Amino acid sequence: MSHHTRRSLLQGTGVALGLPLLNSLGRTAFAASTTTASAIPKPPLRAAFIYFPNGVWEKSWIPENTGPEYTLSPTLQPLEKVRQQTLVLTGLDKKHSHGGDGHYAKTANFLTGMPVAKTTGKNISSGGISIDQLIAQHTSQFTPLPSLELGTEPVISGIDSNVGYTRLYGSHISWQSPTRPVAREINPRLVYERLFGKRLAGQSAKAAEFQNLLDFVLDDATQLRGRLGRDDQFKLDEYLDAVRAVERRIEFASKPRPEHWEPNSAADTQPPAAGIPADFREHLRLMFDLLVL
Amino acid sequence: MQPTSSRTVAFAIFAVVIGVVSPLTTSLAADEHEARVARWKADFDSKVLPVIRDRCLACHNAEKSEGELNLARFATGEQAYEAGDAWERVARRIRLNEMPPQGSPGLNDQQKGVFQRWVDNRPNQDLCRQLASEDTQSWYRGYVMSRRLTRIEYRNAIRDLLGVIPPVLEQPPEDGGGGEGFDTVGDALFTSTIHVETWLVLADQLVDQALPVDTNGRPRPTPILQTLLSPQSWQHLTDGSPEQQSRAASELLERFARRAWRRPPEPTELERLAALRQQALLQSGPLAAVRQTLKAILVSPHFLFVVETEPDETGIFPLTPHQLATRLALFLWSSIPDEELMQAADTGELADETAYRRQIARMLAHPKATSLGENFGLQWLGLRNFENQRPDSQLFPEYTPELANDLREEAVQLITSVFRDNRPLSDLLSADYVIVNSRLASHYGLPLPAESGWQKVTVSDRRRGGVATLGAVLTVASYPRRTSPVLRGRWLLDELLGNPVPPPPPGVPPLEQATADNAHLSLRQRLEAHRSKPECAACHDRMDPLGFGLENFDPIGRWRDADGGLPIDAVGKLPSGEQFSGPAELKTVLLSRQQDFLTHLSRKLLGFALGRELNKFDACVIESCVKRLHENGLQSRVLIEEIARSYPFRNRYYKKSEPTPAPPESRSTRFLNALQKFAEKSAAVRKQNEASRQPPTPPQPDPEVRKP
Repeated sequence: MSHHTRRSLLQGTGVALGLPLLNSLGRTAFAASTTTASAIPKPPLRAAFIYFPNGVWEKSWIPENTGPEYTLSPTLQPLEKVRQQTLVLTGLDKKHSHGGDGHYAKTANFLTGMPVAKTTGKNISSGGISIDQLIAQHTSQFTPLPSLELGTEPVISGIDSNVGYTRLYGSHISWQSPTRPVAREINPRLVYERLFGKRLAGQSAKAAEFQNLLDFVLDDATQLRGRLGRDDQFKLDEYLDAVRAVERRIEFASKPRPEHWEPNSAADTQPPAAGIPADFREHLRLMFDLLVL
Repeated sequence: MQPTSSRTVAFAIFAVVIGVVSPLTTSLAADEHEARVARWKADFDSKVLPVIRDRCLACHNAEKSEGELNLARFATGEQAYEAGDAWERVARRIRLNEMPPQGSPGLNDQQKGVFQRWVDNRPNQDLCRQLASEDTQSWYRGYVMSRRLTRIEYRNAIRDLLGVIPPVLEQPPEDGGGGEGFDTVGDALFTSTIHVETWLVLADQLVDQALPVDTNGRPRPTPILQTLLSPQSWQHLTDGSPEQQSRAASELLERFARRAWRRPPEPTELERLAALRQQALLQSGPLAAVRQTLKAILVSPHFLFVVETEPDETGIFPLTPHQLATRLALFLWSSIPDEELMQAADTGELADETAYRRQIARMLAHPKATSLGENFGLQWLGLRNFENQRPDSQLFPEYTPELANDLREEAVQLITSVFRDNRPLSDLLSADYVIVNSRLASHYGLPLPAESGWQKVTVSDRRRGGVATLGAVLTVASYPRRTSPVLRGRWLLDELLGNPVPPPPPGVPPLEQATADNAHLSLRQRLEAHRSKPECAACHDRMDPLGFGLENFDPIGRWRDADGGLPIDAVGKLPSGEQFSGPAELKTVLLSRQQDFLTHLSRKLLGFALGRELNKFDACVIESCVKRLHENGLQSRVLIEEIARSYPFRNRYYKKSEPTPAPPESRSTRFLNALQKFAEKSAAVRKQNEASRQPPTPPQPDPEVRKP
């Protein structure tokens, strides 16, 4: 993949991306995966979006010069080995992040670029689908999971009555639709198990059982849905969509096909220990390791 | 779109509700009311508006809208009338001398009097026995949405159904909050793939765990499951003839489904469960087949969603007894109803006031009522994410995970005990006791033998006692390295008294930062310098003095007499003129604002119980809660009862809408089924249309239901 292709993607979607780190991470993931044996299908190109709050010290972040032989800024020094494959994008400030309160209106629309509805609960909206979910819609047939949503902290509870926003805006950057944030996983072990289908399709008998259960509850939900008012139907649609997504996941994991790429599950990939590491750096490192599997 | 007929019915029902509950609303009274409203509007134009123009609009205009308040919107009495409750908040700020802020021209006594009298005379509508609906509020927000169980409710329900608790790390993700700040609000509860995956995996693991087999291949249910069948039926489940097996299994499934789904399952549902068991029997033994079906019950939306299904018409209807029992159990236990409550619903006993109160009293005394402290309490006090609090580990090596856990637990225990023991709610503002264990006692410097468990300890000096001096609260409203009178003052105003403070305007430098010219000043002096600016004074005059009253507590809640070698100065002076020093006197000030506290707590608890944002119709419930509390020595149970008996808690507004077509099915069989249903429906619609000689209107797909 050339830089050109990725740049076209960014232009094509018309969504402003606020994270210069994007390409470097996509590239890192790519590089790590290509080291596997050549018999294994070529891994699809992946995209990663990393959000961290409070911003960066711009002077140490933005490289001083441009062009192929640019010098990495002090903060970006760790990327020196992959500098040639790294693009640092600037000027991606989002118009709709200028209004509203900083903690909420500027986090929830990180990947939507749209205005966030000011609300303590009713009619929550991030203004649009987020770019990661948009990409996932187009690439889900290539990977076992359409997308992975990771975090290091639980969702912030409550509302901020001072500024009139629900705090959950501060906890979600991934939006399946303007009105539906995607929950994220903060426990590395569960991410690992999801990634390798161990929870759902570890044994084929279990997978078949799960399929039967899901069939059953889908019927329950479809019947129930018909008896609900309109708003409640939307809530049940979330459930229906999630059940179908789990079904697809089980199908994918229980019928591996040779042409399909699977995550790097070489014997040396040890599952992370159970639990959330007390050390924040360790937690972050584990989550990043999972990203490149 | 509403068909005309159903619209008419809705109005008719609404009229009946009003007619029955307010027989006093005669036309005479109505005329009088109209006259009062007209007088009130005229007073605004002639007396109040000039004061607002003169004293308020410099900041509260359309452009600046300081404190998120734009008073320029109210240019006529008519517009002022529409604003309703907003004036109460304005009046309170003026009454307490908080507005206009120091440094701006204030209101003289005559102007204050004019304003206060005008607000006090606001003609009130009788909202007590109404529920907001689209007929009464164009921006209707009172609708309670069918929602999924929260993370905590799911955990508790599984515990009460199976007798096993899902491991913390494997539970569904944490939930956000909405409405009045709680996770019980359907608008803010979403379902992602992770949720369904988790529910599926946990149902699988936990049912196997709750219903294992012994070495003889017989079931060994947990005690809680065991009560669902007689010993003989349990034996039949694996050892009986095929008929006996089937009978025992049906019995178990029906009872389990009734408990899990909080209502008697319908015959068709039981048939489907039986069919699922039969299907599983083809591949596995009798017990495994039963387990498989139990799992289905726990992954079904009937368990995972709080569904209050709709009657056929739009309007306001009482909840069914089973729906009411479920609301009550979620409110008091954050769980599903137990057998006794289910029976009270089955027999219709809940409609009886005495029986309903008896259930409430019983449930409050039950250990499950701990959830009022753990779920409601921690969310109310802003302590839900307390484990994320990280005081500086070099300055405070004493702050261990164990201590943090105890600090959190103390908050849970205090709130639980106030409700369980029917204590006066003023205990939450000031009490002569704390609930601690030995580790916390030594942290607080209280005498308690080592290895003591949780217990009430009397404190006579009022330094401790109540929520404001909980170690967890003092820690959460501090910075990692030092205390913050601003954060603590804000906490007291916002979380305890319900008078939120707006965020600082943009561009203001960090308040307490030391600069070259103020490095020699103490924190108090720097704060005072900051407050000399009128735009800062408006809020900091309210917050900072309250916070200074807590300066005797360090950033992790320990008592201190000095900080950095200087004696603590815990004096605070409020805009109202009240002056105090230290936590004991601060609590006297808080007690003098008990009315604000009781109103705020009632509001929070009602918002938690209803799972939605409150509206003007709910103000009446809050007023009656506070009134009844005063009549009953502030007993906590009275508040719970008032909320559980209130009109919005026992009734629901149903908005009938044409069902939107469900997204297409993923599997071919279901797809064909749906296609057939659709064809049948279309035929029915066509037939109906032909009968009424109208052009056919095919069902419209909903544009918001999108599928890639």
